[in-house]
Amino acid sequence: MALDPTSASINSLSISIDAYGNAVDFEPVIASVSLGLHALGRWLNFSKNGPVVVDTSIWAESRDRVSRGRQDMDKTFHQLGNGLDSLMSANTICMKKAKASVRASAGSIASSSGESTTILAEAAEVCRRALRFTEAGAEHTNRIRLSLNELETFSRKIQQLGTEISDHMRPAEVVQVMLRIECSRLDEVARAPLEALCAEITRVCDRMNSTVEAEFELVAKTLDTVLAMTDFAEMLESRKQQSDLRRAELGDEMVELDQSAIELAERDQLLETRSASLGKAISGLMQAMQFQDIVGQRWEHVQDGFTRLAAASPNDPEAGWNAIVQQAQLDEANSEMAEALSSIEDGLQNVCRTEESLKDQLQATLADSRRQLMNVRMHAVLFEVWGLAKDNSAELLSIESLSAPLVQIAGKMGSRIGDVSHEMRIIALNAQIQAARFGSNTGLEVLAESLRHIADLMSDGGNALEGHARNIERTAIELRSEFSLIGKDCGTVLTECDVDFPSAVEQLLSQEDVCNRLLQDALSSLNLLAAARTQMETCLSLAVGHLEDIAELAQACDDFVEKHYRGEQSVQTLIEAKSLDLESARYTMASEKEVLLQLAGKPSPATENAKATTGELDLF
Amino acid sequence: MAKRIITVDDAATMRRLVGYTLRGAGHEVLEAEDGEDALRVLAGQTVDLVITDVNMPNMDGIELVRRLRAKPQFQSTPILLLTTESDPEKKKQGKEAGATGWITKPFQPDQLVAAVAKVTGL
Repeated sequence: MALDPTSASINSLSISIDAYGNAVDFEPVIASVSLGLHALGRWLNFSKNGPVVVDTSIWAESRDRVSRGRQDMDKTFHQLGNGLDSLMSANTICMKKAKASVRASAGSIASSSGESTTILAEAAEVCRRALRFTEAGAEHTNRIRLSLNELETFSRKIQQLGTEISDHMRPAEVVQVMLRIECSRLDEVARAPLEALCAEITRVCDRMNSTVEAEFELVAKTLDTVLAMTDFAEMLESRKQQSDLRRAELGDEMVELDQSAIELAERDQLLETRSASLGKAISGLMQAMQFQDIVGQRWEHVQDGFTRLAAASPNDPEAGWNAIVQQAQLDEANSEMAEALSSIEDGLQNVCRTEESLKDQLQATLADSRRQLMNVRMHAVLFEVWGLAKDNSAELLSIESLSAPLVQIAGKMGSRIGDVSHEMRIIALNAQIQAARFGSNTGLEVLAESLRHIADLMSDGGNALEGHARNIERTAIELRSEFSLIGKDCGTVLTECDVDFPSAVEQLLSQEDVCNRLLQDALSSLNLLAAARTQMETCLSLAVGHLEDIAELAQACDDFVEKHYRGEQSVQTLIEAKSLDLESARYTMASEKEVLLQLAGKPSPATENAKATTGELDLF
Repeated sequence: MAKRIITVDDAATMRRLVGYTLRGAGHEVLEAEDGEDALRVLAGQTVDLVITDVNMPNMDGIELVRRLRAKPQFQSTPILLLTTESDPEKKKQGKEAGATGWITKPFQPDQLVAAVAKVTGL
């Protein structure tokens, strides 16, 4: 394009419409004659080497590129808006689920209400009673042991007495033989009472034999009972140890559960913080996204400027001023958009961090919920202790059935031996009468004496045996009383432990299952958040690409301005003159005024103030 | 208490952001692309608050305020100008047209919610 310095200088002074079509007052410029003459001189000097050819197609091309950039950015921000929509929705879902799952987990451990607490309380009570029973069981065990020792001693004494009585029976058998010899020497009439005596001795001997057999039976039963009771006592002891072990385990479980409850409460608090942080990130994203509108308007203004530049004479200082302004505006707008995109990136990174934190918290809670199975294990332990009480109760019945005949037999033993001894005395007396009848030279006197001696021995043995039998009876009664106490304790435990343990454990398992499902669900919902964030990140990359295109364009404009206009005195003079008249120009956006004032080297406190108060309500 | 609010802006993103913010605070939000569209939307119905941009095609925000104030049913309705403009002259025009207040973009969501609460008496 050919440049005519004269016409250009005249045109530059006569133009009264600025590059944006608004009326501009050039009075200060015209008034400043020396400045104008200087500008004219510079302009003439600028063109002293003759017409310069400048290719201004850059402006039309720039206008089109800014227009495309704006449209692309609009589309991308629309998609970003969709992403934000998804992000907000995912945020609501994720936070709701995360909080619900963590609170449900906390509730399953240590909440002050709900079924699990009731079950725990019942189970703890059952455990307490069961443990008390096993302790009481130990006391019973000791007493039973003492009784069993006594029983064993008595039974051994009875065994000894039985042997002694058997020894005493032998002379009676000899007397019988002697009597039969005596009978063979007598006539039928005389021998009749002796034969009767002999038969009586045989009968008493038989009774004594059967009594001795009964003694042995008593001893055998006592020993059986001792054996069975010893086993039972040992079992009680072992169960007590088992219960003590479980009780210690329960203590550990309770400590861990308490710790877990504390951690869950902290996690719940942390979720609140994360929720607030995510809300803040979303708020930041919303604020940053408004720059699509703000920068869009600035790009629109620049686009208008490029349109005017495309139509203007390139050698006109006005065009130079306009080009510098548009380039500066474009740089500023790009910088503002870059800042907004950077804020969006920060916001998305914050979302990403929140996602990771949520994931960590939920996974930790999930791990915790596995620990919550301690609840179930605790109940299993309680169940075991309860089972021990139940076993004790069942075995008690068989032990009681064992001790019952012992008491019965022992009770009869004493009287039976006393009876036999008494009968033997009568026989001895009878033998004495018969001896007197037959005369002192017969063997009957010896016989009577032997029988009396036997009766005495049997009486003594019977008395001792009766004493021992009574002792056995007493001990057996004591044992039954102990068993009765144990039975009562067992009964109490079993009655009070009417909680359906298997069902309670099943309930807890089901509760844990629900918590775990909630946590898994919350973890899965994080995918929604991640998907929305990824969608926004993709849009952000596109937006950065669009901005890079416009920034590249701004660089080309800058090169052009540098080459053709910047540093030219006439243009610089025009800038200074125009900057005095900013209020009448169409630079109403605070940020645009800022650029113009910067170009003119003038500060703008009012604009700074306006920037600081964005978003605040200014009531009229 | 939920309010019925119309947001008028030629930028879809802005309408969306205002919508997110106010719906999130429990309000009902209507949308219009410019002054003319807003008058169309508001024909035969009232709202508790109008939030409008200033620079818009077809009919700008200042003109919209004038037109609404001319209607008896909108004489006492709060109208906020939400704009990138911060020019005192424009503000003066807005005030003279009958706007209730002015908010310069960009806003933080809680700032807008607070402004709405203030002018609607929440």
